[in-house]
Amino acid sequence: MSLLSVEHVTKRYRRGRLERIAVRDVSLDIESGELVAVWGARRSGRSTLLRIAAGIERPEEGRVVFEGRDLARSRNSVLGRRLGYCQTCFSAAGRGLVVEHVAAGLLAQRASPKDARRRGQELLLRVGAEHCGGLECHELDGAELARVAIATMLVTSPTLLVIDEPSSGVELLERDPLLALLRSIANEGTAVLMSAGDAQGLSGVDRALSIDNGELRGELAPVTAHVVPLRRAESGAHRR
Amino acid sequence: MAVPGEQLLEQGGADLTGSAALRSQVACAVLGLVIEKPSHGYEIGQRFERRFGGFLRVGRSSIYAALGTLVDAGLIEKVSARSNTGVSQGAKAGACYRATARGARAYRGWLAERVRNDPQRVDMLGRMTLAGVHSVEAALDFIARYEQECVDEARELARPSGSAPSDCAGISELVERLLIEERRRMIDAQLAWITYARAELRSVAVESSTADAQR
Repeated sequence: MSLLSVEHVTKRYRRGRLERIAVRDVSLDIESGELVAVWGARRSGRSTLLRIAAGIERPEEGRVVFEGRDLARSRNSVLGRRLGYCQTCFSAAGRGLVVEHVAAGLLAQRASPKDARRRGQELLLRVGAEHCGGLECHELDGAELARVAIATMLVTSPTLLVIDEPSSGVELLERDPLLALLRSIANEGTAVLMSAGDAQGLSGVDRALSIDNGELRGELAPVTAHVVPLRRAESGAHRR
Repeated sequence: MAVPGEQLLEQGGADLTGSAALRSQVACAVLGLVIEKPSHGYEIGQRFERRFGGFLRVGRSSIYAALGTLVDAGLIEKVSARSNTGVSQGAKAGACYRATARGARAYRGWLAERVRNDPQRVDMLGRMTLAGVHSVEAALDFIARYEQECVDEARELARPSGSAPSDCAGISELVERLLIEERRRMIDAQLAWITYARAELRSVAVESSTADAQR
């Protein structure tokens, strides 16, 4: 069973008599520790696909199964806990220090303010943004915003991160280190599904998919070796 | 770029994808011409001369050899001149050839790969594309394959990591990074072209279907 299974998902948007199909019969499997990128032009359906995969939007057809549970039928939302999602960049609501925003997820889970703040600072160190903890959010540049956004998602130890265009708005020289960070997170076991608007956003990923007109192409399932357990010998000679 | 399955087939000795036959540019050009229009060998030779004469200077024997190779690979097939194939009658005597479905798929796959790997031959490839991809649907299929080739190549373009142990190594790493960046930007341009080409092709398809509906 895959960590995430998007199964024959279709999503339509209607405006009056007009209808646009954003995602067409898309299927996709993601395993733990995989780094998967979806390349697509604007209005290709890439962001819609990611929102559906994260359970933010419900498909009209098909289903999304995360850790064995249908996201549409789950009573308790996994979003923000087992599954982290962020859009292009981190946007803080209201004022406050960066470390407080990062720790907010833990405070919501009734951690003590002291522990939440300590964990927040640890995560900022993990994502290479330890110098940002004492700054206001509006003081961050593009790369710092992206790193802080990732730290905010990691605070609840999710098994899957869904990130819409992580390198958008990030300086060119800062993009590869950011992608290396996502690679390292995947290497530690947290799967990452992200979208990319350029070739750079695809470098080093495990699978590079493309989406156009809502149709997803590429290796839609990971290439894994199926381990067949050895059968116990049936003759009594080997039994004790 | 061959998919793993294709590589396995080739390693096993049976080239079920026809990729071995498409190692020759002449064979590729001939396949494109057969896809464009089922023809006799003689007529294919004439069209080859008109279309590719300025790029590939080969004799008629090479054309017939290419036809034989393509038949053996199952990419084209011989048909009777009396069958309903659209083969022009009255041409000089000889077998008539038409492409198989596998041949059409192999050709599009070959085109997508070559366009990526051989950007300096755009003129030649443009002529081949015109010969073998002659419907909007086929062109969109070709573009989808081309796109996947591009994103696969972009995936492989990971920058070297780690600190340089010396100034000399630092420079060489920088040069490598710059070369990777150059290739990435070329891929971005290719992907931008793909987006543009799709929009153009779809608008043509919409105009065509609208015209059909009004008739």
